[in-house]
Amino acid sequence: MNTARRGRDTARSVAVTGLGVLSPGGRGTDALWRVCERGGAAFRTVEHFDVSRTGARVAGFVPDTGDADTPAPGQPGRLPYLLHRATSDALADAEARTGRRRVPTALVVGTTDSGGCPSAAAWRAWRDGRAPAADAGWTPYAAPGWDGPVIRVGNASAAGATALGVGADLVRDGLAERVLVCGVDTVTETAFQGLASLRTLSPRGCRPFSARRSGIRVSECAAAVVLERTAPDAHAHLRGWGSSNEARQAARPDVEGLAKAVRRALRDARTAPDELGYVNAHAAGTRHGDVAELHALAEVLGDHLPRVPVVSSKAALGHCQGAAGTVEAIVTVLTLARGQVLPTLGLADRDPRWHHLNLGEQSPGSPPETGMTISCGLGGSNVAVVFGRAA
Amino acid sequence: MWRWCSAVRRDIARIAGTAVRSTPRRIPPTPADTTELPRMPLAVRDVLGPQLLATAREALDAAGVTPEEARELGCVTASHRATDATSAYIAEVLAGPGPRWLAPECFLHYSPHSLTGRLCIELGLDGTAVTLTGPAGGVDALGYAAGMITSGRCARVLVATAHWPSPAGPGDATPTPLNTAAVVLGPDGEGGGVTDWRPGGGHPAVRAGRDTPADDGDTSAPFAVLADWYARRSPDGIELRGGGSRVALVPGGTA
Repeated sequence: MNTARRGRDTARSVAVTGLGVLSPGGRGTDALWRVCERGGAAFRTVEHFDVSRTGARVAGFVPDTGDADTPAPGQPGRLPYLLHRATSDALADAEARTGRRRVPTALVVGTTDSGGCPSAAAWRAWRDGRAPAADAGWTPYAAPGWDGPVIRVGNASAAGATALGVGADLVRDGLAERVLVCGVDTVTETAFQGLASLRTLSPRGCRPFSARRSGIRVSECAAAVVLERTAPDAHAHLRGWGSSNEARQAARPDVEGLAKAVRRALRDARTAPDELGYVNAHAAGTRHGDVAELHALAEVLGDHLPRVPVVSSKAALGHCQGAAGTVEAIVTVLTLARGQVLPTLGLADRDPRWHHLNLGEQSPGSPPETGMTISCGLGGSNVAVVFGRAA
Repeated sequence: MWRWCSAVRRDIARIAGTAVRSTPRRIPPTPADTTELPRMPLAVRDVLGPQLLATAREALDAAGVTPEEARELGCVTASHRATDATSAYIAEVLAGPGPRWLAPECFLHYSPHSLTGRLCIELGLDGTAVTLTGPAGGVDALGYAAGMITSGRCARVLVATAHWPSPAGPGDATPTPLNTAAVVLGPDGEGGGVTDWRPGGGHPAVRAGRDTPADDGDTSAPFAVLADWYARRSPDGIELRGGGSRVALVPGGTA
């Protein structure tokens, strides 16, 4: 382990130079940090489709940003709008931070939304001949005026984290000088009701690590991260990532598969397990998922685990679906950059089996130098991404 | 305007095996009797999935990959709206009898990643698993998988794709071609190889002028061209295009 620390090869590290986010906390990283610290995200009853026959009726929405002509939830332009805003903000941040403008940039989009039928209304319009197809009604993912390549990643709820890995690989392999990675999703009726029928949605919202956790609450979000080879004034550095799809069944995260992804990410990051100072867990608040993830972390980190803050941002933000991996990566980057660990919200009724762990409520002795974010997706996708304050 | 970095990798990932299938298949019709709904066949689970799995098994066989060896393989899939049948099914049930009549399992076949997940779980593939979508997904999957090999991140990769156009209208029982294809890529061998990925994709401004009008987002099309080229042991290299992305095939015998 110590050899890894002393002689760590930083050549494969990628600089994080720009951040842009529209979350249920609002627009920008300060608004994101504020709701992760104090709560108060924009959760409300879904109005753009019928939830009267569903147990869970609430979702997280991006508050009105004051832009004229903002498409409302349920309108076809909503996803492209969120994507455009978040990527523009991230790119502006990267250009201001590095002083480098007009760098050839590839866009990697992580989303669960492949443009299929979003609602019963869209299906009826198709049936009645009022629409040419039963689809979401939008085509390009890219921002207006975008002329670079676009790669789309669809690893379910791990799409955002996988997009970060693919983006880092593009930079490392010399395929792009700058990569803009954006996780984005909205609240659609077909996904909401599909999750409800799978008994994944909880009427009480995401309560990670709680004794009374019973499922997730979905949120809309767009979270963008700019990656490039090197930069002197980076927010942080993406050191490496790992993925595994080992699973016994599609619906449940698997301890071995998760542990494998975490080990691979640490190896790719040339980082020893005891160097980790922060984990932003997938921890969606499902009965089985939280247990599997903490088992996997215990397996890899061993005695070091109780000393590492393990935090879930989903208590504050809900489950941002395809954007979860990128928005939680932004929280990880902010944690490293600000040197402050925020606790998991709502720990008053934490599951007693995790009393020995630090779920973010105890400040570490020194600011974390290295952090990891974990994402899991239906179908068995397990992904971990490692960030460092230094390359 | 986009320009490419000067240092384009020349490394080559070698083709070890291919398989291509195309069968006209219809989306299972929704039964008139509501109580039959939860038990009806699901398009992605019961029609698309089995054909994709059979195609992948055929490619692994052709590449001489044993079930034990499959554990080390990474998996990259490409699809452009091939799983839309699931969202259409959910919307149809919601528009009719209501949410309580949804088959609980249907959402497991909603995401394009359900294709990757099914291959990984049923074939025991345990490497990096990436799901790419969009009209450029087929070419991008081949290019990205080649990079996994040449960078040493993965020893071998199964690259697979499915394409299944939606029926022209609701209740349309006309079968549409279900295209599935798979390629196994590895680091060495005498066969041809994949190199020089140039992602383009997804945006009309990028696609304009690069693709033929016939480019309908069929992510399996570049796989079919690759498999035919590989079978003929062609001495000439070719370029695969799709959705604005490009990747080069270079002939074997030069390893």
